[in-house]
Amino acid sequence: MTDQAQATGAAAANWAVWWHSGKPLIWLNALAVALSISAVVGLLALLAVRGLAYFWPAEVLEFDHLDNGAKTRVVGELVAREFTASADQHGDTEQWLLKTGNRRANPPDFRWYARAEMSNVRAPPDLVVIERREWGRAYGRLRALYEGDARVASGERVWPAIEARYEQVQALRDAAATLQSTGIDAINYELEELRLDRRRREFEALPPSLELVFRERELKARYAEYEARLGDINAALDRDSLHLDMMNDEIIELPLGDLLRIWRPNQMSWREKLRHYFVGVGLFLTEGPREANTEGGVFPAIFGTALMVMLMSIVVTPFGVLAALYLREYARQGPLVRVVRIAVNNLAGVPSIVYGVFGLGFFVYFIGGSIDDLFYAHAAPAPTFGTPGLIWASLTLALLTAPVVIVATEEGLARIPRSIREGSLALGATKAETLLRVILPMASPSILTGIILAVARAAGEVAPLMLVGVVKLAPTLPIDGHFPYIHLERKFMHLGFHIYDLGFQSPNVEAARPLVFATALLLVVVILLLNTTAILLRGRLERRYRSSYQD
Amino acid sequence: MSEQKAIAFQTSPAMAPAEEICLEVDNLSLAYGEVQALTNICLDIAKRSVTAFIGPSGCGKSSLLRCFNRLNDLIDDAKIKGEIRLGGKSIYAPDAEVSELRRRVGMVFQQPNPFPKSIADNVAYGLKLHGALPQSEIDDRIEESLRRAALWDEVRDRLGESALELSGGQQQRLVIARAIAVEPDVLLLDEPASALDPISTLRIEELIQQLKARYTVVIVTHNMQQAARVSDYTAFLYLGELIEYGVTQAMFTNPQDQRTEDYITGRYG
Amino acid sequence: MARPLAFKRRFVDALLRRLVGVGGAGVIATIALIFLYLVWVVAPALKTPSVTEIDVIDTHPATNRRVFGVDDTYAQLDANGDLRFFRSRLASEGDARAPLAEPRFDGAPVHLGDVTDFDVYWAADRLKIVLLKDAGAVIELIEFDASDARLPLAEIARTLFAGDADQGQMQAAFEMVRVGPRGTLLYALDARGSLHLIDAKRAGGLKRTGAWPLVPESSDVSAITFLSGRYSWLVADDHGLVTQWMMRAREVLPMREFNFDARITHLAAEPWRKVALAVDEQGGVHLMHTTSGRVLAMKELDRVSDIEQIQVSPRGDRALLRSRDGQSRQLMLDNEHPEISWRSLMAKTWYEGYPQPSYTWQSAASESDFEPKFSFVPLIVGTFKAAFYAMLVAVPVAVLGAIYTAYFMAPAMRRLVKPGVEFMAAMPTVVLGFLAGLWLAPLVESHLTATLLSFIALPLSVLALSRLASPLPEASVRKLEPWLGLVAVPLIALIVWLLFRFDAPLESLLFSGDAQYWFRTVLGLDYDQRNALVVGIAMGIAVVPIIFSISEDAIHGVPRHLTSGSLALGATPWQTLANLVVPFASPGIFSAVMIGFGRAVGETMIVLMATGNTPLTNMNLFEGMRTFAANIAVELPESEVGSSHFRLLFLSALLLFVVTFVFNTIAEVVRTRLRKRYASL
Repeated sequence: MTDQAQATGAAAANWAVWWHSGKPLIWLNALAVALSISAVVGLLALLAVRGLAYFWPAEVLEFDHLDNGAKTRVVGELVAREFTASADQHGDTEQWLLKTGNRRANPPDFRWYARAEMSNVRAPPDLVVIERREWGRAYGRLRALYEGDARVASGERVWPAIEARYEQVQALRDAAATLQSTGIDAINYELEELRLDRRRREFEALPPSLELVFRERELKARYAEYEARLGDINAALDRDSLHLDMMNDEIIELPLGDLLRIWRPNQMSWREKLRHYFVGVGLFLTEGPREANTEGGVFPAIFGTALMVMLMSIVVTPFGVLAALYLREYARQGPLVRVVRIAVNNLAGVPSIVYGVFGLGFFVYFIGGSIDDLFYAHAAPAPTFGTPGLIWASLTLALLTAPVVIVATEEGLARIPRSIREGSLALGATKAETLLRVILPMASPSILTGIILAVARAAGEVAPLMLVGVVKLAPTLPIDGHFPYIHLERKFMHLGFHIYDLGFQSPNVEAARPLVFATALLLVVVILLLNTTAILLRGRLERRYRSSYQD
Repeated sequence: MSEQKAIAFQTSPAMAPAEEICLEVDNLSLAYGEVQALTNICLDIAKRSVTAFIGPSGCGKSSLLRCFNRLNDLIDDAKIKGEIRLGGKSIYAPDAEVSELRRRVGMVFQQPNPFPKSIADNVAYGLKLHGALPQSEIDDRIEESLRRAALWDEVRDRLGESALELSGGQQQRLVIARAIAVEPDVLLLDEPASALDPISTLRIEELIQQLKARYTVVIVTHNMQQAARVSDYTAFLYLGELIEYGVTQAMFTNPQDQRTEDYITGRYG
Repeated sequence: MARPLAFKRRFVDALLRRLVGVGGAGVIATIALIFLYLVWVVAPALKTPSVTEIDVIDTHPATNRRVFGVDDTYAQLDANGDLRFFRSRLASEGDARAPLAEPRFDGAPVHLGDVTDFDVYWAADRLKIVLLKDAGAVIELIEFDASDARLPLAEIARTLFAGDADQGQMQAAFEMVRVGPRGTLLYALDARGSLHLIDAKRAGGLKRTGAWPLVPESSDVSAITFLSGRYSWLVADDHGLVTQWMMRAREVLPMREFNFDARITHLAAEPWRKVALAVDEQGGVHLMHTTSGRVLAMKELDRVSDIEQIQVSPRGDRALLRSRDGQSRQLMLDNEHPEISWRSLMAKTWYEGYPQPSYTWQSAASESDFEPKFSFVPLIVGTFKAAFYAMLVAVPVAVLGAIYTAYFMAPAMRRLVKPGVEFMAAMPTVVLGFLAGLWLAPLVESHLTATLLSFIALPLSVLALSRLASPLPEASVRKLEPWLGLVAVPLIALIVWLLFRFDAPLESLLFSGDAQYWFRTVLGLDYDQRNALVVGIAMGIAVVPIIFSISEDAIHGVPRHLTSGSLALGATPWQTLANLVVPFASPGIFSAVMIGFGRAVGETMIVLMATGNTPLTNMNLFEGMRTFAANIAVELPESEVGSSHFRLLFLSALLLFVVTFVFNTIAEVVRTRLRKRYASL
């Protein structure tokens, strides 16, 4: 009895000692760090795995599905498995999500199947995956190749026949694209210019000039000609067609001109798969989006992001550096400068959406509207600059990132010892010469760090852009061959917004999901690279100053 | 104590009488905000001589030095009364050109402060500011300045290397070379050897002796032996006031003021 | 002797000075500009409305007319009983000058005959005209094809007689008839002041469905007007009491009252806003906004006895007091934003069609005569809710993590962990938002039990491990401590994996099978897939790096000699930390939390993507919310420039700006002081 009491007493004392030692709390603190690490690593891993897997030529499965006595043959890629436990059954029920594609002939393109109703799951080597211009992927077996109405190959021989003709199809497609971009688009552009010219003359109560009328007529004639040629090419593209045996033993006909890529994942070697993979990544980076952004690449978004960020840097760099020079080198270090410095710091903490609101109100409606009233009255009521666009987005983000550049530059300036400035001044240099020849070159790595951080911030920012110029699908890039080459008033695409749009505004979220992961991964990688550069640069800088100026 | 004096006697240079005046300080007062740094200083500095300012830390000797090239202008709340004349012209006159003044009055600081540029670029820095010279001329001047600063032999093969690679003593001589490259009349040295090792200090002191031939040198030092060794004249400042000013040898052997004596004999620490 | 400075050098120096001055002024100007511009846009919304008499204009004697079209089309009945349609050309000046209008439908009249009152309703395909005939005894409804208004669609002309005693009581004659919302309902007012609802939807004819007395027996209806949208109307009695009645579920209910000192003789409503003008017999003109229940402005006129009819222009900026002699007075109504007042933003408001007053944010609907519902309360609650749950996740993780990193972690590991966590700060929030919305939300929904248990199981299991490790020799534990942060990572992975793997059995054990059902039935908490829990986790992750980084700096910056002093006195590291370091660094931690909170309040993309953006007014962990920031992102692109809605969105942005600015300033000041304290030690 007493032993037991003693033992409990000792145990209690033990617990108290343990608790008062602070150890449990140290362990809890460690848990917090571990959670942060897990979050970072987990997020990156999740993005990497999901984003990179998208391009891998996954196995195509075929199985028999028994549903209420009816047996069907299903073909598709396995997307996800889910186990659901139900209280009344033994163990879990397993469900497979398959991408069955063929959205046109056999929607929907994603379906759930209960594992229990599936039998004879296999991966036959002759299954093909076809990526085409419309309607998403198609899965099935090649049956025959037709040229017009004549059958030119069937069965085994279809694959080599496609390979033989693919180059020609590609050439035709290229020709059509060239015709479209250099011919038809150019004419359209000029016609629009002429229309505006006509409006302008009407505005000034002038009749359209004879030259204008003739030019218009000529262009229209050429337009018709180009259109006819395009029609010929399209007819040639539609000549050959492919017969594909889908799931459920349906045969569909695919024009060869629609075919973008075709592969047989179940018989590809590792090497082929790898090649396919990198070609896929390349296409993703260089192609435009298709089908409401759920297929294809993100090139316009990359281009838009890069261009916007560049324009922003052009604005924010001089502004930020001048402001920092003022605060650190010219202004009298009194309470006012302290207040301004705190205010600048705080600007970095103001929600980005507020900048968006300001940008929309001030830049777009106020400044843009005024520009339109002054210079583009003939284009009214369609706004030119009085609507969200590239230039306003760049300016808004320049404002948003200015604190980053200012603070980094100020830090760089503060780190330069006073004796350097005095040394230069003591040699008879003016203040400007001191700054331009000694101080700014010495601060340039800090400035660069600031710009890189600003660029990283701007590349990932979405909320303000939604208000001042980003669109889900821009018909034209902001740079093209028409004067003045950079069209600052145009709307543009942006990687971050692309993610939002794909994930939340897409008509087919399930189809877009792998693409969102890939786009997100791309964005994160770009931003992490930028930040790593900035951190490394800053680190080198600190070491350099520490070693050479100890005071 | 007596030993110190002995050394001072031995290294003191012989004085020349009735020298030409280079800098005249006339009733100069300086305040940083509320703090009075200098009060009613009057002194004349002789041309082509070495004048040393000594005194305990915070006595205003560096502040006085920085008045000569108007570096105190950089401090927002510095207020100056009185006058300083260089070659008879007030340097605080409204039409005075600060940059030109600073070219004529070169300065070397306590910490070596070479720019993060090459050795040659450091020396050429001032030259390039003050007018376009042909490259050959610049090269000549670089060599000449480095020679005068007794650094040429050490760096002649690596003029393109970063100045930050040099040792502390070399950096200090480089900074002196940089200062004399623009051909100043006056050279201000603000404790030029305090951050250096004894050997480098010795070299700097030798250099000061050579520089005297061409420039008026004003040196602020903490180190009385150094003042005694290198200077022709010495001014003792205490709490912002000029206590005593005279020929170095005389001052060290026979101080007129009790405070000077106390300082020289080490009573102020 | 002194060489003058080369002109070029002096010029460059002056130029740079100017440029830098411009840059510096630019910064100050920019900060001021953002604030002032937002204020400038918001300011008109807070202006006090006013009524001014501007001029007297020559009008035609009042004719019987009704405005009914979107583009200010009106119908006018002439003395012969012919109804003609016009489109007004002077929209902003009311329909004062009738001749300045172009006829519609080729000017073809519709002959109505001898009519007491009429009303017109115009939809995409139908033009409906309702008439009161035979001295108010008969109601007739005629429908036309809306494109030409010529051929009555004959078989739909229907009638109802006032004497139809379907409820066994005698009816008085009707005095007024109007078409109700969407044209499916008619309102008729009888001479006793009762309102009758008449069903006009069914093909069989007009059917009276009920009657409601609008004024007490002792009183008469002195004036009546229908508010835009025709869901509610204002009724004045003899004693100056104006009551707003609304129709809800085919019932007529009183909503709110306006009390005036004198008898109201005339009432007129704006066609598109819930604004009405009342004239009393003593000459007072009152401008009212019904949604907020406010009398916006009041103006004394000198004579009102000759007023026959009052009209408010469609844009609500002019009112015309028509008199019999054709000399009508025109009033200017300066009343751009009647919807905005502190009360309507912050107090419960009773909207048309709602059972009781509520906090509602609903800025737009498909109908153009919609009553906008501008309550900031759901948005304030939503903003606070999102930030609160995010901080609930972020503060413990970030602060405890910072303590460990700054004080216990191995330096080699710290060099990696700090930039690693700072990477997270650079992570675009759109990525976090998309992961939260598309990956985390479904995961949490299907594994709710495991998610909730993780919050408890992780700390408990770590504590248990610590207890298990306590008998180990002190030295080996000491060696382990700096690396615990890394060691715990696989542990977390294991525990979370286990919980998620065995979610189903846990769910049946704890919540008898269905956690969502359990929360709904037992605690009364509804479940949305995109909810505050998901936002809390995702935004928590976004905020952790900010709080972590600033707190870590503050703790790490505590001078070493301070801690070594304590350790030398025999305190354990934990005691030193708890009693010395953390209290010392607490201002830094405080400012870190403030800055983190500021970030959470303004974060847009995560909230936008990880919640359903429903403006709810509750703190339920399992439902979504709509924050100010998300609300701006969703609604501003669609908002009409200069409208009340537009200005309110700018006001929200201004609030966000001010709140975060204040929070950051406090944090910054606290931090500056702390830095000084560190420097002085």
